[in-house]
Amino acid sequence: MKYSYFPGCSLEKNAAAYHISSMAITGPLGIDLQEIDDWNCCGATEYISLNLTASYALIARNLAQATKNPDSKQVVAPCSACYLNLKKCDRYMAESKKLSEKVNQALAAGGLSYKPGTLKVRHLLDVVVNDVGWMR
Amino acid sequence: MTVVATQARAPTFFKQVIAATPGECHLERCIQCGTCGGSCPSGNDMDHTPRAIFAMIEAGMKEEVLKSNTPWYCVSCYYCMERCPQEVHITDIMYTLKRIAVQEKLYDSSTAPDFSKTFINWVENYGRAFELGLMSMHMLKHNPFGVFKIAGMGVGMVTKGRMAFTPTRIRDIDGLKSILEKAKELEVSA
Repeated sequence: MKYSYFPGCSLEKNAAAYHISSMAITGPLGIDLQEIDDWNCCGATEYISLNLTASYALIARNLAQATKNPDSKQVVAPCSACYLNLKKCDRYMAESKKLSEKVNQALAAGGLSYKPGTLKVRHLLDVVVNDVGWMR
Repeated sequence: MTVVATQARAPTFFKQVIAATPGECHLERCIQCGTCGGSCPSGNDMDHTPRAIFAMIEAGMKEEVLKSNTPWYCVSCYYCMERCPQEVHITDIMYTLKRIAVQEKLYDSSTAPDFSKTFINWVENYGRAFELGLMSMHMLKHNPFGVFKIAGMGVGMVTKGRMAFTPTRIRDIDGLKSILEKAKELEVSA
């Protein structure tokens, strides 16, 4: 099972324990996490407090980067804040044509684009429970 | 009585909040049950609970709402949103209130908006969050003596490999900067 992987800033350092244990279990469980190339911060809860379009463009850049992975249409994030931001971005872009247009205009400035619904955003625990299953 | 009724139906601010919130936020569905305030871990510290804030939005009390500390005390745990029987997107509305308050310079005197700005500054220039830089810049600006208080914790985190000394820059930072610049232009023209 192959997935695009979004580690998030916290897992790099202050939540390193979470990262190490995630890496330790995913291999034996047959979960192949492929880190999204050149991913950026999801903006946490701070960016959206100041600028809506920029905050969604920041998140969408990660989704656009993930679409470049030919092996998987699913993005896995272990951090609950990153997971939520990625998931919300995909959903609200699908719900609001205006937001989707603006985000894509912004992404175009960096040579990228993202069509909502292209990827399925999932939490690592969701993958462990539903794809690997309780019985393993 | 007529005046009160007119005020209660004054839709301008109510409509502004809904329009500025992405997706279907369902603010109009609120039945004032108070489940949100009762679930909120920061409820005690807020000037008004989310339930009260929603009633005030509907009553057109724009200034009181935007000057309230309520949205800035929201910790984004989404417990209210999870429990709301009417599926009101409470947390998203709190983000909207923060944005409008910052745009209209009406936010309360807390340092929270500035914390967001410092956080974002690192992200805009490096593409990743940088905690040591965020904390030291924020503390030096708002509470310089507080640095000594948390220095011990900082040293502990660094020795345990939990905090980086230098920020990480993503490869295509120029691309990210162009994207964010364009996004900000679009936000202003909205």
